[in-house]
Amino acid sequence: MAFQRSKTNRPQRRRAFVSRKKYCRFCADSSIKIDYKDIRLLRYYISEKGKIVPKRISGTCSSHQRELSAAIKRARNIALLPFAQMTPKPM
Amino acid sequence: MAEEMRKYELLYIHPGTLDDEGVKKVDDRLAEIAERLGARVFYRDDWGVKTLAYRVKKHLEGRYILMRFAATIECLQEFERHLKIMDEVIKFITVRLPDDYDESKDQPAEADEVAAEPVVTDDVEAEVEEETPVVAEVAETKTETETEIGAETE
Repeated sequence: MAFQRSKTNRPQRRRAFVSRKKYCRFCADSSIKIDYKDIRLLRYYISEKGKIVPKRISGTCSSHQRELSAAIKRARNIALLPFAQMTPKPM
Repeated sequence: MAEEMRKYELLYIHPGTLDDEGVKKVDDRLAEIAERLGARVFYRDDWGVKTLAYRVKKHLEGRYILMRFAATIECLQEFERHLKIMDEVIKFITVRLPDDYDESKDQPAEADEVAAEPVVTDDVEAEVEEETPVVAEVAETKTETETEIGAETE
């Protein structure tokens, strides 16, 4: 598995901020279930381009991120979510 | 002989332009298999026509049918075999449900064979109305069978 260096340690540091200590939405509220059919929920976790948002941005914990990822991939396969979409280009 | 029944969730898609006859045909086919191989359908839902996230077999809209049932492995394989073949179905995905999945909503399939035992309604409160299956919980026993029929990504 590729190692990930903290971006702040690199000589050329672009951004100094680490992801905020946001909590995992699913850990906080255990009644929210991750379901590939629930695209309203899933939409929050894909980018404008349709990419899956990394957990350092979304604040999800590892285990839920894995579940999310699996659910998103399933939803993609069943055409509920796109694999990729175009971002509207600012003029 | 494996008598063990497992619970599954199947979501399949008809082309948006498919008429009710076509929908019925698939339904009947699945029902016939279920009857022959002893499956028990305990939930069925027709989501109607939705816009697809991408073009599938030249279609932009699809009619989603969700079905939950208990079946043997052989039966499931037979289901999938037919789903793959039928033109009326353009995509499907089957997900295994945990064995303790609460069959809260009971809606027999259009077919008549369903052993329509009134489902354990005492647990209904425990199960939230949006019948989100607790697929996520049982990660270790989850087996996912997924087959795409000619998906096109453009």
